[in-house]
Amino acid sequence: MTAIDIGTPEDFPLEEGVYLGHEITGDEPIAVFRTEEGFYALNDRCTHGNYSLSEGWVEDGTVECPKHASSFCLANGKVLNLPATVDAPTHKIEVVDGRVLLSPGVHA
Amino acid sequence: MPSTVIIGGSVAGFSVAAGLREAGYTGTVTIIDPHETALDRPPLSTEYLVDDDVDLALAPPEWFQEHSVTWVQDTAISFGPGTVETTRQHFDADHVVIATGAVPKTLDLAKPVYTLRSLADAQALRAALQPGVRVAIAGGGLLAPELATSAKTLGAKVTVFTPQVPATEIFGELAHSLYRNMTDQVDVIPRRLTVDENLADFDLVIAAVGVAPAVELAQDSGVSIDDGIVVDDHYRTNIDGVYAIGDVCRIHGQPRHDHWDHGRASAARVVHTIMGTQPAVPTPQWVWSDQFGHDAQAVGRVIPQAHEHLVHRGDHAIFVINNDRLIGAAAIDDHMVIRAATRIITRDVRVDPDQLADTDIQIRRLAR
Repeated sequence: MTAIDIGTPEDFPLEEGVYLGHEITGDEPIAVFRTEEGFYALNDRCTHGNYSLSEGWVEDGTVECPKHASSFCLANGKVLNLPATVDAPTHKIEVVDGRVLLSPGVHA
Repeated sequence: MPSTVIIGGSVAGFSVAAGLREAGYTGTVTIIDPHETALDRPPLSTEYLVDDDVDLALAPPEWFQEHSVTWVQDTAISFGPGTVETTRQHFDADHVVIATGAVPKTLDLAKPVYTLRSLADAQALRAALQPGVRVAIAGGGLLAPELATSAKTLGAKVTVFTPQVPATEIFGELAHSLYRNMTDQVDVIPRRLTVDENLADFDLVIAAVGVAPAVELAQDSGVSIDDGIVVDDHYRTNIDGVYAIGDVCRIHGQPRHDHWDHGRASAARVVHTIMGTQPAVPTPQWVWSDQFGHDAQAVGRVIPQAHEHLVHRGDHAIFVINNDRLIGAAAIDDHMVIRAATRIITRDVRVDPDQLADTDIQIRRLAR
């Protein structure tokens, strides 16, 4: 699977999530997060319910689901608190020559 | 080997098992519950009623094996210091955690009366709420508007009987706009549904009139019971090694807290009690409700006392502040306000009412 060019780093606000729909990812919608540490990509849908992690609260390398407050580690998708108990799938994302490249389905 | 037996496997009981493992507890952990697995119940009144494809399980089956938590599908019939009996088995336990929840109150009427609490209740209601069915929903809390939303979605003809604007104690002023939404969507009769009501125009009634703590199991156990199993603020009962959490308990000197978040929070607290560790600063009480297409959430207390001030952020969010400290917040369709308020309260961040009111300032910035 080839990587998708999703823009420049500046297209992504710091400490916020950006939603990439099916038409971009070709499969599950993906939430992309930019922090001081770098870029991260998780499945957008919270593993607990049908809510969008891209709308979540980003802090200290985690994102908290906006609806019921389950948190996930941005780097490895690990679920950190209930009600979710299933880790969020990660996707490889990297910045190459000033472009943000996302590889949907390839684990980070 | 030390052992913990948890009676009841909804969010509170399950959270104890998950929390003990997270904390490195090396003893055995057993959950006794009549259901097939651990279920999350909030979706029962909303998503589950209207949609076939809703997974209620709090964890996938393999979770239990991976975390060495034994699920016993059975009903506990008695417990005492160090022991729990079910219909078929005897368990020894260093720690017994009672998380049996609550049972719905009902109404005695000359019509079929449904309640909603368990999976079986939801299944029965789903079968009954056919298109065109004329349903009267009685209740002045969160559940009545949620059930009204689902029943309307299913095509039922809905009338809500409520003696008050529902959930004002939770959503404060915003409860009135939720009430207006409800009156726009379904018939609302502003009085309590009693036996004197003429119910000829209805096929069935749903009673959403509150719950009683499920203390039956505890009646002869020797634990003190007074509107719930009475516990201290470590969730210890008067019997050594026996704890009660979630909807079934009441902290001495406080009202009962029968919300999902209290199940989770009390479980986290009892894990510290069992492990002998120091709990983090407790987070303020958090409640949410999905009704008529809106997401209403509240954290802390949103009704100001005499020396406190109410701050409005647009027409959809309110805050209660005491000088420069946040006491609580409620918001409709703006969960970021709640996420931010939770942090502001827990971290004791100072707030400025003008900034809270200014919708041009991102709420996230005020929590940092």
